[in-house]
Amino acid sequence: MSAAAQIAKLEALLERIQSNRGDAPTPYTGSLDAAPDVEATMEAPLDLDEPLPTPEPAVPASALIAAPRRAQEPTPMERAVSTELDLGPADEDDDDEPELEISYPEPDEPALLLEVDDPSESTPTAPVHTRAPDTVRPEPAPEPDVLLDSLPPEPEPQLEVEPQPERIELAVAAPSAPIAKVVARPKPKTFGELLDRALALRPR
Amino acid sequence: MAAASFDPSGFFEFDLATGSVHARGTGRVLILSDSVVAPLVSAAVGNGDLTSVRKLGRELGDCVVEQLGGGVLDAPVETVLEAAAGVLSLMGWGRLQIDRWGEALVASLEQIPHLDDDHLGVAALLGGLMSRLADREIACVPVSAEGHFLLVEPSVAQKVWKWSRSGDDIAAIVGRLAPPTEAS
Repeated sequence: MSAAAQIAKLEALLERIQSNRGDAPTPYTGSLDAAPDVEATMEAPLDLDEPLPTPEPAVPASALIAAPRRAQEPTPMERAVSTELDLGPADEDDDDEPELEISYPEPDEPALLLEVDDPSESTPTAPVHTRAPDTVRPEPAPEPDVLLDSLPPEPEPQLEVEPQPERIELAVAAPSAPIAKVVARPKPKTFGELLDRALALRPR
Repeated sequence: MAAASFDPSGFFEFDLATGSVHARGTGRVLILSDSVVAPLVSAAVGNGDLTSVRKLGRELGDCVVEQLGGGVLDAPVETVLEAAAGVLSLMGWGRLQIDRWGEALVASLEQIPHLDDDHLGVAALLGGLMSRLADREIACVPVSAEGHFLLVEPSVAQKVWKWSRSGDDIAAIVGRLAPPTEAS
């Protein structure tokens, strides 16, 4: 059996199960309510002339319990889930319902291939608001200059190089005046001048 | 290297007939060994009287002045010092060197004769020599064990000597000296 046939069979089975759904069964309370109260019977004498009360008709369970909501149209996913829930062990009493048989494809069986000729005819799977527009109007070709301007700037190529020290160039101070005051006198020319300077030294 | 202006030729005159030696510009000299002179100098140092040694230095200065023909103070520095170094060498006191440490002058003698532990004898000799050349009193203070002497005015000599004895080297001692305008 092919997968399509299995799906069709499952959907037919789900419809059948939905149609067979009825009110939930209500517990039977008639016998308990009808049980005679012995003590009351003993205290109050039975009046045979009094007509017997007519029992109210049983309220169907469907009246006490809220009416079952009409199930909305199940989605395929809900159907699949409910199918799994309803496909429990088959009711032994219900001989009419066919047992679900899930057959797995044999290794030798060819896998199902959906051939779609025209992609536009295929059933869209994405929500409407997320779908891509069906038709796209081609925009007029921009001018080459505009095209270049609209292009995002290309990132500068980043080259990995070895870290090297980069010296910060500092300007050399240019003195506007002599940077030092020359205090050393020229060498003495004569022996007397030499001695005069030496003998003039005193402790600081 | 320029030729020295000092000419040592004929500095000594040996008179073998009379058995005397005369040096140029001086009187009669005696040739003594340092082993004989050293005890004499040490004794003078011990007595605190180096007048004789200082007088010997002055006589060497006379010799230098005679070599130069006078006018020492106006003579070039190199001329005077070369003459003084020549005379000291001929007399056997070692090789004189003069170094300028700023304005200070440091004299040193290579192959200095060991007369006393502190070279006070040689200091007196150099002081006499320089005093004769400068025509004023000059003190040569030992500032190292290797024969370095600082030429200073005599009133400063005692302080420099104390600095040297306390361990100050030449640079430290010179650093403590300043011209009068900067002295405190």
